[in-house]
Amino acid sequence: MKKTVLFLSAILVIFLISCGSSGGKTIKLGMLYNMTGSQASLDGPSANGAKLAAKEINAAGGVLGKQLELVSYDGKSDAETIGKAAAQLVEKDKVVAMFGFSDSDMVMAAAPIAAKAKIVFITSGATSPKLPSQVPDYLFLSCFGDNVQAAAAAEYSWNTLQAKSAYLLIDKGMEYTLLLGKYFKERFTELGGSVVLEDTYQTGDKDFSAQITKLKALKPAPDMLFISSGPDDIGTIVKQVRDAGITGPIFGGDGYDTPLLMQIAGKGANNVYYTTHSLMDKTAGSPEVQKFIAAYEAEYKTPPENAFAGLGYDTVYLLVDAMKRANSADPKKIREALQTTKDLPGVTGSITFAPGSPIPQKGVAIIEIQDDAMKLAAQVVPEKVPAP
Amino acid sequence: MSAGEYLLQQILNAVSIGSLYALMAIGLSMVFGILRLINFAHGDLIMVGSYTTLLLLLGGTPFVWASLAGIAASTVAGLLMERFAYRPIRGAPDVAMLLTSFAVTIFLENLAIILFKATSRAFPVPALLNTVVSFGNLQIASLNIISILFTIILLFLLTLFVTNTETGISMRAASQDLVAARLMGINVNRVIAAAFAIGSFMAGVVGILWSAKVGKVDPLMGFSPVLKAFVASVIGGLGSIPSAVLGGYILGALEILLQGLLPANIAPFRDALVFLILILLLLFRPNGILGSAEKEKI
Amino acid sequence: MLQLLQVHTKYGQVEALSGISLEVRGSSLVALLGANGAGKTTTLMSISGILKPSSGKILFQNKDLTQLDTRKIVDLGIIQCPEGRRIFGNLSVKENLRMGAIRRKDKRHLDQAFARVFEIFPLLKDRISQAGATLSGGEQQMLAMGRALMAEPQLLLLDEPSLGLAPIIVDTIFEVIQRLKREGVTILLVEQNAHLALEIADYAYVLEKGRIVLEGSGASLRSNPDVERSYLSEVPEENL
Ligand SMILES: Nc1ncnc2c1ncn2[C@@H]1O[C@H](COP(=O)(O)OP(=O)(O)OP(=O)(O)O)[C@@H](O)[C@H]1O
Ligand SMILES: [Mg+2]
Repeated sequence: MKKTVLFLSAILVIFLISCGSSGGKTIKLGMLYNMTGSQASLDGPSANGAKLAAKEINAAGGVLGKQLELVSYDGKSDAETIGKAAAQLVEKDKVVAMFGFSDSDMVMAAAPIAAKAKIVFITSGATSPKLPSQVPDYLFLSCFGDNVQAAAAAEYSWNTLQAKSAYLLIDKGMEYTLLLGKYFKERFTELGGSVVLEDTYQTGDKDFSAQITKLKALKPAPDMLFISSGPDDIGTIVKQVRDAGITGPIFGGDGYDTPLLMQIAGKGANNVYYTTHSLMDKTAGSPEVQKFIAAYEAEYKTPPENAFAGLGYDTVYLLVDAMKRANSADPKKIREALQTTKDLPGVTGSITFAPGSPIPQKGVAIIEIQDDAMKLAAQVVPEKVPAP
Repeated sequence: MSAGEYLLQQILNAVSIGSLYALMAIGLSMVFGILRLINFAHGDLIMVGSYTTLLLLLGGTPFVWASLAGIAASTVAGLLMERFAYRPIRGAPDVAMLLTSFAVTIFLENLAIILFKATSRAFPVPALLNTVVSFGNLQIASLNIISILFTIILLFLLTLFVTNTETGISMRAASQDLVAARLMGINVNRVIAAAFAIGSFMAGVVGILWSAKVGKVDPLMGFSPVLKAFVASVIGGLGSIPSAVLGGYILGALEILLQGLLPANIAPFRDALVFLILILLLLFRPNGILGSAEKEKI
Repeated sequence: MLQLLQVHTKYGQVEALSGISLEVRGSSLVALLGANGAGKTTTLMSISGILKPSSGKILFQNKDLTQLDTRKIVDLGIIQCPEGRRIFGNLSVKENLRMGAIRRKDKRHLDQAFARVFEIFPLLKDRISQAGATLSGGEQQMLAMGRALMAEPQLLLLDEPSLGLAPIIVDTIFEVIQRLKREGVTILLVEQNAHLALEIADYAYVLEKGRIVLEGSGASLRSNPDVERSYLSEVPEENL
């Protein structure tokens, strides 16, 4: 009995505290990431980065005299769960803006709900350049588009790796991987390269032996492999490709930016290249990156897992910058101020939105894995970018 | 690579993945044969074994010992599952048992998420398991050879067991007619426990091979294998060991051949095609390829 | 030897046996007659412990069986040869027989048991490695009985051994039943073929809707006009 009373009063206290905090003393931002499921290895670091940013901002006095509050739900990599969470953020939590996710399909489960309530949704890591046209006016990216990173990959492959022929393996189950593969092919063939075989798989496949056998039957062997894959599958694919004795360069997009790649593929990860938002390296990174890494490590006892941590972090600062310039937390004013963001420095590069474009102009980091270590191979702005 | 070699290589791929499906399907099918229970939690036994192995590996235990301990953990988990989840509701309607198996799955997966976090973790494999062995122009991953070899050995031992030991014969008898088996005085509890133990043991073996192939583990890793095992056992005919094995290899062959032969823009519909073939098969042979007409039960 | 006292058995809410009392004396052959659905099989399943009576007692050599597991009941020597034969179709004839002897501790005498079954049913010997499912109906009935005999029963419960069999085979089966009786096996025989059963029974009970409605010696029931009307006229129902 005593225990029950204690328990009930504890709940009551928590309830009262949470009621107290929703009394308008804070500015609420809705944060949606997948802490479980196939997206967790990108979204987890993003969420941590965002929380770190909020903590820093609050410690420095908050925004517009109020504390920043991140209201977050786990999307569980599931569209239905995400839809419900977004509705909850609009109706119950009454947030002034939303952000999150690293995958277009996930974004599309939430952003339209925000747009309907006339609230902006900023995706920190979904790179499809087609997204904004699907949710006009209310959907912004704080990262580059896939056409940009694919073009960077193609140009680097052609110019620096001197690859003339490529094998393409594309995950047909994700908008992200489909587009990335398509943009790469477009730019690579435009440069004069040839795609000798284009093969496919489905998200979550575990056995790639049939595709690998097909690849090995190619005569002559292609100069490189472009494997358009999500974070959950790429480690397994690289491992199985290498286990089959194929040693050539493997290229991919920011889906590769997960510690799992090197952990799973081990030595096989050598000679893998990928495009991402920035190199999270204590010594090789920019001053912003080094400062961020130190703060992240102090908070979470681990260095940032990948660039997505930086994207989450930058996204919160992006929103706060807009609120400060608008001098208001009104959703409409936030949106207008966001569009005029200019040269806002960030861990993943500075952000500027050209008039009418919700996709920022940002550079692409090309990471190369050699001798069991990642290093920044190049920081590029592609010469020519395929249309979305 | 000549066309013949290419085909041979793909057949090897099919046999290798089919072996894993077969081992999984055996466990699912044996339990179904006796209890009419589709134990969806069977896949989670893979997870239990793989995580046990992983933790021991990280603690510095040599691979062989860690694997054996993982297989033992799967086996014990299977026995506990039977004792505490399924025995209390034995004889309940099939749907109730199926729902219980979902509950067990949810419980185990969430437990794993709490204990080990939801994210994937790399599964370190000794070099022996990821080298390539060449036979002339053919190159075979050592892991495939080991998978096939283990499957042959296990199938051989299992065959000996179910045809030569009293418990083995009792197991087949019980899956034919549980009441008649009880009338003989067969110890049904023991037979069911034996079925779970053998199935879980095999799931443990698959767990190691599967994790070595995929290179990582995660709390939901059992889902895909149990689904494959289910399809395999339905193809072969739920409830008997030979049909489970046949179904496993047919599924492996279907997947590899469809993936290997279909044009790239159709290949993604491979799984849909497999299900279509399954549905067609069930229309003509409702009890699977080897299945006979459903027998009467009281 | 066996006594049922006011046994009630239910399937869920439905009562199939409403207070059955009967007795089977040692070395005798008792027949249990009744129409479809009267409760004959339910009675045998209650004795074997597959069904648990909701009340009443089942005594075997003065020991109460109602709380015992089927295995323990088998150990006491009460062996049932179930309705519809229920042989293990995927198992060979030999394996089926081996299952019949599974509770025997004295495995050394297994050979003798096999020899005895093959002596009674020579046909089974020719089919020894054939799967049970490939046998004809008559052969399957022989296998089912042979399987029961492997346990060397003290009390043999036979549920409709003539069901669906050709007359010639029925004769063979009944000869075997009589032989077993001569050899001292106590038998409780459930039959719809009341003519045949009453001819060889020492005593008989008639079941109707879960109650015993008539009992008496085989001879006395055969001449009872009620029995004549209900059970001995024309063809038994299930052969229609
Ligand atoms: N599994 C069951 N569930 C519910 N009711 C049952 C079940 N088995 C039998 N019954 C019912 O119990 C009653 C007795 O059935 P039982 O099988 O004992 O009859 P029976 O005398 O052996 O008949 P038959 O000559 O057809 O074999 C019947 O009304 C039957 O419908
Ligand atoms: Mg009956």
